[in-house]
Amino acid sequence: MIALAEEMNGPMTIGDISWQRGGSSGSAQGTYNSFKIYMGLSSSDELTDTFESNYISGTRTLVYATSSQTMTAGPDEWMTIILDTPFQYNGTDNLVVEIQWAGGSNMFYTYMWETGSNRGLMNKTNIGSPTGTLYTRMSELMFTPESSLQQYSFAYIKSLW
Amino acid sequence: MGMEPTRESGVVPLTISYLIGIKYRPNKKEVQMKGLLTMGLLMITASIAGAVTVGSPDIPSMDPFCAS
Repeated sequence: MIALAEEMNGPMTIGDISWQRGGSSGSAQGTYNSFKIYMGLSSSDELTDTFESNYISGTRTLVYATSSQTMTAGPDEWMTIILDTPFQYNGTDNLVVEIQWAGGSNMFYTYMWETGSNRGLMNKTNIGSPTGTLYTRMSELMFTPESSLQQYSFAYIKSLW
Repeated sequence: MGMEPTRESGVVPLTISYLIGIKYRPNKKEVQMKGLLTMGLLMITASIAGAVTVGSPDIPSMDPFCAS
């Protein structure tokens, strides 16, 4: 899926990504194996059906990986994943978010929205396939900046002078 | 023949005057402090900037977390 630059409100070091559970539909908890999240940049407002070609070359980054990911939330609550590697979003290009998982249990419903253009791409049958099916709807996503208070303490600032 | 009012310098009065916006003539050292304060406040502001939500809660969907 792809988030447009005008929706991102400028540059950000993305520390967390969240999905909002879709009311009380489905299960309150789902588990997904070999779960990975990639982020990268795109110069296009729409996706093509080939996963790799949607990225600006060299920007696809593995930001989170776990052998088993549990998604759990109450109705309409947010499920947040803290990234292993914060992603430096530049505020200029569009942001591609790609998730991969292979096998698991339950259906964890989350909210999607109709974008009106090809901003969703999924392959539900073959994780190794380079292509997928395009959709005009995509997940509602929340991006939270990494807290950097410790990194930029007054002692650090003073040392700059 | 009034005396010059005593002006206490240092980071505390500078910070107070800076935050409440009163007129204050800082000396050279205080100008540097003011620069530090500005940078610090800007960095703190940036670091606590809010989350961004893309999209809206329109369609509950089993995608992309459907493991039947």
